[in-house]
Amino acid sequence: MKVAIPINGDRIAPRLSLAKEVVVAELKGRREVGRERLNISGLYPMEIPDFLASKGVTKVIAAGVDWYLQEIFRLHNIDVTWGIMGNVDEVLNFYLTEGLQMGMGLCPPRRSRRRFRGFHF
Amino acid sequence: MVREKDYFNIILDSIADGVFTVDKQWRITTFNKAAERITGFTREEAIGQYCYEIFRTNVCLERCALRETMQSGQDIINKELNILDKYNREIPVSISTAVLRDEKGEIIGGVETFRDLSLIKELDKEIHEKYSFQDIISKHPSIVNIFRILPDIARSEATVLIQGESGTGKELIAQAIHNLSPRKDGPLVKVNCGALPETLLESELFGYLRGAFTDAKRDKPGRFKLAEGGTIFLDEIGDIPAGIQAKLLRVLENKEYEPLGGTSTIKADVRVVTATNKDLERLVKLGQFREDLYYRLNVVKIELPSLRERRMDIPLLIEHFIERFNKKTGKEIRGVSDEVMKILLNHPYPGNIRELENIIEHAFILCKGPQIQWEHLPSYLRNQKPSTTERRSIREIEKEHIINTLQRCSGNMTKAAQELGIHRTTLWRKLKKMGSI
Repeated sequence: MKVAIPINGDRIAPRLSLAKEVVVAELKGRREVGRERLNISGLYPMEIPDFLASKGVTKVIAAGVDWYLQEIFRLHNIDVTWGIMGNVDEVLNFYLTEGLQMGMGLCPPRRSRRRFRGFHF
Repeated sequence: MVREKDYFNIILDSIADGVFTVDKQWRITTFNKAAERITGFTREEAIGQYCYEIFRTNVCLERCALRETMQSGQDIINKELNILDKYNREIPVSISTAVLRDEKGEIIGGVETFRDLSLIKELDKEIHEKYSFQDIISKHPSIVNIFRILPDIARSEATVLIQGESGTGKELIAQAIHNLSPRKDGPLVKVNCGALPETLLESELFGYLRGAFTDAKRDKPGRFKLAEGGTIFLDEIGDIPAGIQAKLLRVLENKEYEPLGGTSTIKADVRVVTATNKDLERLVKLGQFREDLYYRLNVVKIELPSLRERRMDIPLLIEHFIERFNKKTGKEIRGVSDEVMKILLNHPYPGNIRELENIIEHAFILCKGPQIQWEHLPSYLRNQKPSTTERRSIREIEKEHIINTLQRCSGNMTKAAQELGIHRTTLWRKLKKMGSI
């Protein structure tokens, strides 16, 4: 399967509609077997789903995605997981090992820090 | 005794506007309570993150106000933009920015305050009718397909005919075509052809010269002139009289026209987008509309389905209007009763979305509790019995929706549950109850 991630440098772009590039990673099982960067700067946002569908993409991982784009992706049977932030490599790795949840925010998630408040007797 | 840092946080949290600060690497260092409320992110989630990943504005990375301020040292006051909240909802805000300096005057970061403008923008849209195609709330494939082809239609110079019943959003589509077209920086001039008598419509469209008629004291440019370099949107095109049809045909064929009382021809650099709620083909057969004009107008046709044809959108639209009226009225209505939902799902909506909006607005005035009930509906709906052929229970509608979603997701329960916005086990329980498992 092919997964597309809109990017800004090495991180997920804040909004799919503002991204200039996407990373398309080819996955086999739990392994990444190929990767390419595609320029999407000349496209209108509503053309992005058609473009990615033509590249064989079946999943999109992104931060912000306008609702109408989500619906166009749905027409193409492309699954969208939005609300993900972080470094592209780390996100892909987390997706392959743990799986992603819609709106989970920072990926990999921060471990909750519990402050040591002393012993209580 | 309150410590200085705590005191500072108490002040920040008592401010009604969202406030956050960043360091020089754009990492958030402060995030007050109002910022949590507006964005949906908690302070713990936001602190340490890049500001553009939390706010996801429509200008992040390219025209960032805070970046501009940190580079120029100049404050920015009340700049309007949109952020996306944690739940992927677009929130219009007004922001102000300033630099943060240490005791030596060195820049150590920036501060931004932001105010939620949702309500103001909602009212502004209503007053000035400044809606965009994103205001068309729909998951129906025929509407989503229209969104998909809009850029191609917009890029071409072809005349567009938008057909649909009144209240289906024809004007929003016309607006979108203009906004996406190479003519977007030019004007978009709207004319309601059905609202004007023939003589007035002719002078409105093509203008007149001084002395053209008794009251013509000076030249008046027509709408085609005003739309020069942009788009003219001719609404209710099916209502234009025969005389104007011939003149319009000339504009479409030769890109030229003559103002009233004029002898010289004016060239028109205007894109024509038209709309009608009438069946033009039928009018052509009845001899009420010129066939040649019909074919000139019908180069690209967009057909907008009525609300009856996309009943799946009704619950979505009800939710949308409730949210909008809650903001407007300060009420906290959470939804409609099953009985009301049933009536609303079965109503034929001759007035389409506008009618549904009016129904919810009416109910809002009468509803004092958390849920809209039968007695809050307008009388014509209270008296209306759903037709036996169309009458379906909420459970039947829910079942159909779940099965459609499952089919779309190729039977993948996790995916379907995600799409339906319910937990996987809830979906499983519902399917079991329906006897589908």
